[in-house]
Amino acid sequence: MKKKKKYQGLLTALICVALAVLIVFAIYFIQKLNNKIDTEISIEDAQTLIDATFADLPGNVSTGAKFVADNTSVVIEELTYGTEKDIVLECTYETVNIGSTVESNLDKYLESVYGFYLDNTAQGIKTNATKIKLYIADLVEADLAAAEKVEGNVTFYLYETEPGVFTPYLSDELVNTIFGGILDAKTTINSAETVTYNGETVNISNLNTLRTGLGDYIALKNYDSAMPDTSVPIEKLWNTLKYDFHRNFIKNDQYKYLTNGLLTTLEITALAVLLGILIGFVVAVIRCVNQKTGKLNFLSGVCKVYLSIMRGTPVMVQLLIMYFVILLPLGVEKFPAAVICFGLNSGAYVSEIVRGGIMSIDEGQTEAGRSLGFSYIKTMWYIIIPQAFKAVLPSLANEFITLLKESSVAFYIGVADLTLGGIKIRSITYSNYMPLIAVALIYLVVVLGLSKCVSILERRMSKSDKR
Amino acid sequence: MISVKNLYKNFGENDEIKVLKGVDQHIAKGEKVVVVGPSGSGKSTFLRCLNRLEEPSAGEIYFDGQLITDKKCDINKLRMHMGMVFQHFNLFPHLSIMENITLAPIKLLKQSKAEVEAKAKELLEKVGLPDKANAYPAQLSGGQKQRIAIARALAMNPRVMLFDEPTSALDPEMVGEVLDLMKSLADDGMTMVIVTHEMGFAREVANRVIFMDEGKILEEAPPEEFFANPKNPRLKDFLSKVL
Repeated sequence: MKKKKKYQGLLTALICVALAVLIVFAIYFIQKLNNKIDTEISIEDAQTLIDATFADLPGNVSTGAKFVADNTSVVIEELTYGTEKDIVLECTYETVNIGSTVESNLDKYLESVYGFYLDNTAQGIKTNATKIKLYIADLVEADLAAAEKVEGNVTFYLYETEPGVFTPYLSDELVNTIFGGILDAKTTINSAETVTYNGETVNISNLNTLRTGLGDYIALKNYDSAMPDTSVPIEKLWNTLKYDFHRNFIKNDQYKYLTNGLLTTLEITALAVLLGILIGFVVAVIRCVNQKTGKLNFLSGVCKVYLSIMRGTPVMVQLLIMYFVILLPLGVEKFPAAVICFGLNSGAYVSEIVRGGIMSIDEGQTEAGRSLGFSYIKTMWYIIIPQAFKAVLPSLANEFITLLKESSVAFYIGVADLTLGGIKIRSITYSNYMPLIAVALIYLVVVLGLSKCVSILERRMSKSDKR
Repeated sequence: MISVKNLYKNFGENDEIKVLKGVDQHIAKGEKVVVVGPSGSGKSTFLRCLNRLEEPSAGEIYFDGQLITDKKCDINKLRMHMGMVFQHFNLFPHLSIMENITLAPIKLLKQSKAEVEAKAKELLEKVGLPDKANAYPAQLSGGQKQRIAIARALAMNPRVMLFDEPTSALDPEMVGEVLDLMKSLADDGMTMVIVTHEMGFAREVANRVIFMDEGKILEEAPPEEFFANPKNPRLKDFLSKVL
């Protein structure tokens, strides 16, 4: 029966951890199926990517005309990460106003192209779109070279489609802005119906070759206005997980932020609890003596003030005041400041626990001690407090566990505890999921482990109760 | 050995509950005095006043010529010479039997641990529980606990032993073992003041039996006369009920 119970406790703890892990991984996978991978990219890499994209957008394949790449430059001024972890590129651009240049000279081009068409027809040569493109290239490029350049600001988005692979999203709007209305110009060309040739208006609505040839010339190769697909295919999730894990914890030994942080957290908590128990017992004994004998009125008053302050203000405010107002001017470091603050805070709660423990000890124990000749204080020390300590041990252990979690606010004064470790990793990788969940899991495992230790300790100490 | 003069004890915030109303008593060295009386008669309070577990409201108590009701008197020192046994044993549950017995001699008399433990073993032998040295109080029966409580008090080498209803919380079949121990203690010449309802014990062991009611001593006499020839009507009534 006893063995089974022991086993059950362990099992419950394991199930708790397993469940927590399962839930957080489920969250991870669901997020990844619908969302983005959160890799960082340097501003130089982003610039290279943008340049390559632009170089990949020549005005025309057949002629090799590169008026986009030649006449447009986009420079990234600032790189930020949006709420959805899209990478936002604030850019300035300088470009020839291609669209309006083409549009304003459209009549000239059409007239020239129509003339070319008539000449070919007279010679019995068939005019196709490619020939028109080649014919018009020089004319357009001369105009573009002579055109005035304009400047402006634009916002790009980079989407991560696979770990470390980025695709800029070039929406129609964006392309039109940067490339000076190039898409609008193409629409205008495609809808042109008449051409003025030698002062006469000629209808060209049935001469599709003219329009397509001219329109194709200023088309953008490899341009796709669809938003990149950022969802991760399910078979790649495991790799993504490994990748995320690696870049958050393994890369540059970043896991050390967590291990060192945990050590600091445990140190702060252990020292603070020791201080708290010391203060707590002293305060509890003072108040008990005062209650029973009416002595120590002044000290008891001091204790009451201490208790009201500690229990009446948030621990975070106490920490800020303790460090910035009281201890920093005295030249005390952050770590001892945190220990002192949490110790003082914990002492207030411990003293109430201990007072309850002392009160719970039968009056007969005091009488027995006194009748043997022990003074009140010695009776307390040898007889009451050992029993009270045992009685309140579970509560003290819970106080330790509470403090372990409460100490996470220490990062506010810059103590490199576990929480701050997670925050640091987060600020390096721009990743929320991995570091924060890791911090939570570590706290959970430590707390569950401590609870287990406490129950073992309790069993050991209950030896004297066994029948 | 113990002289009580005009002892008063009141309880309550305004002393409205008067428990002892002028008690005079002299207990000689080696005497065994049994105090009997109905519940609420003040006999336990009287006993507890003797080592000042209850603070007397008025009156004087002398112990070996020393005025112990004096505020300047070091009561802790005097209590070392006055063993007390309680109704509910009040053993220290967090200590083993050996530690229960040796705690006070080691800490208060500053005797060496080896010396005290040797003496504790003798005492355990005397109370008939030599094999329980390493047990804890929770592992003992009521009678065993009370015998250990007596051993604990004896470890301080007291000059007088005060018993506050030592058998009242015991199962009937365990009363005998405790009374037997007390008898042997009496035979050793220990001065004893015993509050009890065990009339048989009083008859057998006491030099003197005291009857208390409503905070006063109404009658005191050697046991033969006390039981055979009671004079006070309250005592007659009491004896008719308990015998």
